Amino acid sequence: MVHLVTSDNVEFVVDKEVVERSVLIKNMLEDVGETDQSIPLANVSSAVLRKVIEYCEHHRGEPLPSADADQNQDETRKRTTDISEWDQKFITVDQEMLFEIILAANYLDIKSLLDVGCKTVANMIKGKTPDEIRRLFNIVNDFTPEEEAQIKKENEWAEDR
Amino acid sequence: MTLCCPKVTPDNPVLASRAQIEIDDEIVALEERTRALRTCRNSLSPISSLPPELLSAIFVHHAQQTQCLHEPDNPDVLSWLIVGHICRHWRGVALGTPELWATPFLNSSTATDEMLTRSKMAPLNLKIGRRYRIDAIQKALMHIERLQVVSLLFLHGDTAGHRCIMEFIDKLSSCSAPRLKSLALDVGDKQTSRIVIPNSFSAPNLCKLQIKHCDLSWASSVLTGLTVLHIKKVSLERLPTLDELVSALRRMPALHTLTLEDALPTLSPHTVSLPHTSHTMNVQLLHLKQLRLTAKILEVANVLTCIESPTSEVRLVCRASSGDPNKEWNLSLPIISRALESCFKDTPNDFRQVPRSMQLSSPNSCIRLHYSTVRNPLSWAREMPCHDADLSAECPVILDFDFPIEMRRTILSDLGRLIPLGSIEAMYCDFFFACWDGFWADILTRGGARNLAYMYLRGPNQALEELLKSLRSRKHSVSRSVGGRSQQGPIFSPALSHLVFHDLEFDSSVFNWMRPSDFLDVLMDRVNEGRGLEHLTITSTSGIFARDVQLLREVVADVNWDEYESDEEYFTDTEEDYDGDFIDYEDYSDGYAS
Repeated sequence: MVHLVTSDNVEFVVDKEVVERSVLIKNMLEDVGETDQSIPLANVSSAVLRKVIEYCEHHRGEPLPSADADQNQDETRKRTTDISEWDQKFITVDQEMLFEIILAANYLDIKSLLDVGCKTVANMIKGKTPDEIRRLFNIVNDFTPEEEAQIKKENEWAEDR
Repeated sequence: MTLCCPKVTPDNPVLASRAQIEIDDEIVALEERTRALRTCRNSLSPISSLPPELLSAIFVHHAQQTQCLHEPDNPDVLSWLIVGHICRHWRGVALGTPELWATPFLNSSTATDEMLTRSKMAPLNLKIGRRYRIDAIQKALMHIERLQVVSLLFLHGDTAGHRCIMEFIDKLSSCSAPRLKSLALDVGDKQTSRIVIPNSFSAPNLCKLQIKHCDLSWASSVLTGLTVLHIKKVSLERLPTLDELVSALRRMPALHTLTLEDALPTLSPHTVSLPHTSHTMNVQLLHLKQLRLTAKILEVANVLTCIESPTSEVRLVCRASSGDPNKEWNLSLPIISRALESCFKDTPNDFRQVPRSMQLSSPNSCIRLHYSTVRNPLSWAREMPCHDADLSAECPVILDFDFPIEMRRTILSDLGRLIPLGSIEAMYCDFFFACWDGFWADILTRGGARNLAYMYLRGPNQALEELLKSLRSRKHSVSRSVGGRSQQGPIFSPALSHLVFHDLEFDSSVFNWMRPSDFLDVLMDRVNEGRGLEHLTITSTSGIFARDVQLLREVVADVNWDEYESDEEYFTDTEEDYDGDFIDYEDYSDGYAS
């Protein structure tokens, strides 16, 4: 078992096999060997770590994504668009938690979770107008007139023949 | 906030002008201040907690999704650009992500120029659709050192495209393409001068090669270390010998997809037996997942004998040559049989692939049999027949046979014995060739119909008639019931619970077995045997009317009928057209007891 301590000082005791889906923790454990000492995770709150552990528990035993770049087009498409039903439910959280999970997955180096998070945000953008995206993420238009002109030109690319 | 306007009157033009300049300056300053406040406000939104590299990753996902959804020449493929149109921060991140811009929109010269600049040194992906700007393609191909994916499929054989590929090929033979992973070329079939892939070019990372209407030397070092190889329509003088093909395949031990269409070693039209090849001639392709061969059947068999692989996805498109098709079939069948064994029998890890669904169709007058390990392949349901759908997840086996009509019965009977059909649960039939007595038994021999639960039928009238006969009994020459007694015999496809008729014709003539009342009889027999249907769907089918459907509903719980023909129309037409004419109405009967 591995002891993890979050930024708000909550300790989690997690099965090694589960927690080793994090490449960061896996490498740490390999470096320090067997130890009872807690691993501090200064960038992760207890609420977020709970979600991350839930994810790792669910995907326990699954092969870690390989670095093999030789994927055929269908595999790339699948990797790009598909989110499993369980993952979709898991990642249905408010925006703040979603971004916290993405940050934690990045920090802990859990590629599959990072992918799920990024794909989810990408899906939120899909099919929306700029105004809708701004409203969704509470962003306002702060472009200069010069930038607006550049954007107008980009919008004309599709008509350029 | 109060605005202080300088107390100047228009009577003094100099002072007024100076005051206006001051006001303009203040407006500019205020606008800049407003923008700065807006930027500052944006930085407090939750999404701004993501560092640029993660926002960038999200943008890349979004762009890839968009590029997967649309053809390369569809303007909607550019819809991902929106991520750079939201706010200054997002635009900065987008412009600072070279990968985003690495798939130039080759319909627009301006877009291509700008995207080539913004992609900096990121590996480039060049894909054309039906429409393109040749100057844009030429500009992009100049970046040979960072080309990663090149897909130039000039399907209509345009001369500019041909020249463009020629120039690219020339350049490839003299320059290195260190990042090139995937190369797909097609110049169409109307070109007089063939494109020849150079014998060697420096593309050490090339793993996927797809060429059509292009030639290459089979000894070329290009055919080394590939994982995906598609070669289609090689010119006759460049077809390989079996030795050359096997040697090339041996240089690709990691190959997982192999397609050879009209690119197989030829055999003499007078071949009476396949050349004997020793076991040492074989090539082991242990990673092969997908094998597709198209040629004359003996040529296909000749290559199949040499390939040892665990592939579960096979597509064979076999043509008879002008010689003796029966002999060709008999010579090839054992070899095709062995190849299919690896699809449908024990594999080394004892994993048994079982065909659960089967499709029979007749595209371009071929017989196509399509098997899948999935009961309801999605790709089949969308459109019938489904020619080019990707079925990789469904472990399909597709067999196309372009043989003389008189051999169809032999082919279907032989294949019925060859493929283990005991587990077939769903069958989709969409064909238009003539059937014969015992047609369905020929297709579903060896207990093939044992587990058949779903059947879709669209085909000639005879197919419907034969099916009604078969459903009633395994004896395929059923006489009509006499004295109210129904035909006895083992029941055909006892598990059948859902039947779909589409685009068929019932017929009220007593000379055949295709009246709705015959169908009703069959269903009643099955109900009496405890094998009634649960669902019946009848669409775009003529010769069946409300009264028939009403009676069918008494024996089938769920009947879905689209009311394709109404009784009124039928009877009106019949009376007008045939009243007093020389039709012998005794030959027509609805078949129902009054």
